[in-house]
Amino acid sequence: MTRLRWCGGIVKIWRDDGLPKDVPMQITESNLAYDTAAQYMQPFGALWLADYAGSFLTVCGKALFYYQ
Amino acid sequence: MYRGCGGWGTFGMFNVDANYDVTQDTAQFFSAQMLTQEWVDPVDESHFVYPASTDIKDSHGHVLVTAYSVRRPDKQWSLLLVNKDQANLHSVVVEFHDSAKHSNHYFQGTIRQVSFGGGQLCLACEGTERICPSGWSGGDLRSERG
Repeated sequence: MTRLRWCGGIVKIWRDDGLPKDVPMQITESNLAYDTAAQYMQPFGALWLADYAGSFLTVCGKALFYYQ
Repeated sequence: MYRGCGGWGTFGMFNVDANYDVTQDTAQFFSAQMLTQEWVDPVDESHFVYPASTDIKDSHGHVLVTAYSVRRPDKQWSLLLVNKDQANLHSVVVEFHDSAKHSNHYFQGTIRQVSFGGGQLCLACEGTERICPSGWSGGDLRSERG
């Protein structure tokens, strides 16, 4: 399953649970922090960020913010 | 913030020294730069995201290259391709499908390509000299169909 399908599935669950369609969805704070795995600072982190940002925006996310 | 060799800036964009000065940008920093400065137009205007897909998969059916397309406010199409097959390059042919007109379209003219990968990042521990280039690279391509 791709990250796009994961994001799409989560968005659908929120809508199915009653979030009105006209309420925009945003991710207001996200990152991969160093203390979980050093690999997050390496190319894996770059791939994750690109894939996750593209996925969320493709499934109708309105905005996302990287928390530093 | 976390200091020292093996320690990384708290939330992922920077490595710092004992004085909490930034010593190095990490992969998430460069990825964020590419997303916000190159993939999208760095202006406060609406962008339109369109579904995109690739058929590049491994033998188990896992998608190796994912694609995300955006129509920018400067009227340019911008395509984000994420190659998760770390050891291999993959060639792509980009098609834009117009479902209303049942037609395919292609990039034309000059295409700006920007890339970032493991070859452009070298993480150095505190006290060692950073000798590897870092950051993303870019250049103009000429569309074969243009």
